[in-house]
Amino acid sequence: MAISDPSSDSPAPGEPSVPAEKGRPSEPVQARIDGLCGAFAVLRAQLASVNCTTAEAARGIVAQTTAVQEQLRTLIGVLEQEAARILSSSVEERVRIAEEEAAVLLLQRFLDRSSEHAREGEERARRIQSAVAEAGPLLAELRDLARQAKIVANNASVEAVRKEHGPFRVLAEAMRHVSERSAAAVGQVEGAITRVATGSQETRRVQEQDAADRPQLLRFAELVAKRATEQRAAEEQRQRMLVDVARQHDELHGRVVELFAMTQFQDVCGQQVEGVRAALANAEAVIRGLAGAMSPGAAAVELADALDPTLLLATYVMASQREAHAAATGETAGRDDQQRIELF
Amino acid sequence: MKTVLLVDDSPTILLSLSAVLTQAGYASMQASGGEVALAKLQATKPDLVITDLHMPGMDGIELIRRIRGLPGCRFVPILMLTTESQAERRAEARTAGATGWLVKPVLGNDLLQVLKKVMPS
Repeated sequence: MAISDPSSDSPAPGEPSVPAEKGRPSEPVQARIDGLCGAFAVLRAQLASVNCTTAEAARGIVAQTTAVQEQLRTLIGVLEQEAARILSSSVEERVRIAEEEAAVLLLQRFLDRSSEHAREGEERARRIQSAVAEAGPLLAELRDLARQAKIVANNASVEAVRKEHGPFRVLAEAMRHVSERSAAAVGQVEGAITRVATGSQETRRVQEQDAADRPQLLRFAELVAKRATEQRAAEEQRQRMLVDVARQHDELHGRVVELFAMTQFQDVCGQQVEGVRAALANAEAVIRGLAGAMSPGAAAVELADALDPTLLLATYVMASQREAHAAATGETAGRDDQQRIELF
Repeated sequence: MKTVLLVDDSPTILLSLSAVLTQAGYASMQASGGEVALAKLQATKPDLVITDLHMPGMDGIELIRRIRGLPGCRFVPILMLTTESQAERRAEARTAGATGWLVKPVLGNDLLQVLKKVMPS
């Protein structure tokens, strides 16, 4: 946009030749000032429209990201509860596994002691049976002695009858007594030995039954031990799940932080748009005042060119983007340490 | 009339830059993203491409790489117009085949001067 020199006497081509009043801009300049204000009004309307759209979009994004944040927070809460539940059940399960392992250990020790006792009992029964077997000939010897004593007693009785009593009678009585006592003692010993043998056989039968039951007990112990091993594997799997849950929790937490940053970014955008809208109203007032006070001169040309609505709109939108980017990244928006335009 | 392909996910930027270019006597085409731009480049070859860096889907640097791979687009000037100003990103764009790097905001006159430099009449 070019403006002719208002101080010149010759008017610009196509412009009416009206002399300027004292203290006021010439008519061509005043026309351009009016045009400038009109263009600025159009610009203001355009920017207001853009502001509304951008602010509305920013508010919408903020609302959406806030809702997503809430959902993620809820999900994180559920994950934390799940992790606590797994942790709690894991502790209980570990205690139970330890108890089962201790029970299996006790059962195995009991079986070991039982086996040892069985071996000892078997040895004792074998010794008893051996002693019973050794007692057989002795009993036969005792029975023979009793029988011989009886024979002696009978012979003594015969002699006593034949000699009409006398000493043989006394001897016969004594031998008969010895024979009867020996026979009775032998009978008692035989009864005792029979009872011992019977008890020994009963003990052996019980031991054999125990030995028959032992494989089942061992099988049971193996099953319990296998179950404890499986439960321990399941417990380790739970621990891995817990680690996985913790990792997911961390990832979600990271996402929430990212979303929070996005929300802040969008919120900053919205605030900036609102700020720009207010600044625009102030700027319009300043420009109007400036235009009113502007005297004809070169400055008017520069101001008019600088206020081209299309260029201003593009510059404004890009500046807003730059400010928003700087706010989100922590970069200093206005820094000039890097070349703004660089051709490679 | 020289044609400029504008690539940006912001409709406002596309609208305002298009207005600036039209006012300066250029024809403009608009694309809202990298894929759309590549599709348009299959049909028409512009005299210049101005692209944003941060766009959903395909970013500006990837777009430059893809454009450089298209037949007849090896020497088309491509300007990156972005809010980024980091030297590493600039080097990345330069390696990808960018002609220049413009940090937003760019004044209309400055942009037009750059266009005159990279597209001499």
